[in-house]
Amino acid sequence: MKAYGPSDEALHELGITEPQEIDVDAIACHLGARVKYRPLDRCEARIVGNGDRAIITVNSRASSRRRRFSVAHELGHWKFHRGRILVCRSDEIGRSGRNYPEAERVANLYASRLLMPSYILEPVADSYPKLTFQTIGAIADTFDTSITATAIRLVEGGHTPSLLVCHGPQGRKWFTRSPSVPDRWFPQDILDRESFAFGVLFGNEANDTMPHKIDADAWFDRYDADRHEVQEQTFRTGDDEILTLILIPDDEMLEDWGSSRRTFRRTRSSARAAAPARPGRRR
Amino acid sequence: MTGNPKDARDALRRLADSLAEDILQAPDQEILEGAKEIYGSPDKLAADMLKLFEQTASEEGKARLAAARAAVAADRQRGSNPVRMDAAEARRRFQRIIDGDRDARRTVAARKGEEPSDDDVRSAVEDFEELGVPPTDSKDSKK
Repeated sequence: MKAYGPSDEALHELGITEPQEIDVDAIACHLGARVKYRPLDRCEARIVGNGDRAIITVNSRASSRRRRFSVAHELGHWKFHRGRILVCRSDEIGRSGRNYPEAERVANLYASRLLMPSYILEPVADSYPKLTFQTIGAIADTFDTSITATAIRLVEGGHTPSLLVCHGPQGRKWFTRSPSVPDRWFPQDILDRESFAFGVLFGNEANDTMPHKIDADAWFDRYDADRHEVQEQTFRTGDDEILTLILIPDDEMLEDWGSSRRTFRRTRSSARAAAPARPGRRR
Repeated sequence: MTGNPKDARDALRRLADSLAEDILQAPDQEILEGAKEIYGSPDKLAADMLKLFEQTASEEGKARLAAARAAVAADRQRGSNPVRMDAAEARRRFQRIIDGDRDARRTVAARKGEEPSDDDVRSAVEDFEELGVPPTDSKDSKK
């Protein structure tokens, strides 16, 4: 038997084995929460509960996929924060820094696992050998999830050693990385002019159709970054926001220097496929 | 046998218990040999039985999923009871509800929430009333 996580319990109880069966309204009903869709002015969604019954209200003006994530997010609060009064501020969403409220992070994690449970996601994701935004888009369509939520899930799930970085005009908003990528690879706050992402964010260039090779020092401000190459692919998620996938095909970058006994983590070879070259630091 | 269905069920239950007891007391090697003789491979038997358990659990689960979907569809037909009150009264009620009895196990969370609008507060009070949280009387408001 596979081990099940907190979000898998409800899925298992409802016999859910296919992505199309992940019906968040029905799951909420099973868990004692009624879902309403109505206009909300100042929040994406809300849960109010009394004892073991709750009402989740979701902003009907939001996109279908955002509404789904919001229901799942509120169910995360219902699972972990029942009987508590919480408020999640808009400027805290998507951040993983020290100031990010733990309750919000827990609810997001629950939502991500509920909408894309490992036992259903992994066989689907494994059928795509290379992590690209095309792969992410196809999987997002299968699970009816957003590009951002799906990308985070696949990167954090370790499909391919990689980082996912979100930028706006003022700099980096947030980032996440695969478990196999050591902490020393910390992306710069400000986009490098040589990066392909810079052209997409500031030059109105089209989304990258595939990952491109580039020197790692375009992304990481470390003394040894210029010895390595990474691959980057950028996707615009809003007028002032881009997501960049940074693939790490170089095993040396994945060496773990954290322990006194130097360990070496072998990685999937899927990210090694040749990528088109461009001149300069762009390869 | 008496012809009484209850007696028949009890007899079957005793037989099943007895068979289960025999299996539990048998040496492992004997069980493995028995499985091999009947099924060919104990591992295959274990895998097939596990699959059968999971399939049975999944079928029961899918029935629960269908029931939940039906309940949601029925719920969509229900109307709501809009709370008619002015904005100031709605805000007072909402504040009393969340500041009220600490042991009442009330839950409130808002995603990407800012200071709620008057309509947002009214609908939150409406939701609480639907959950059986009564409008607080003036005595409570003096707390």
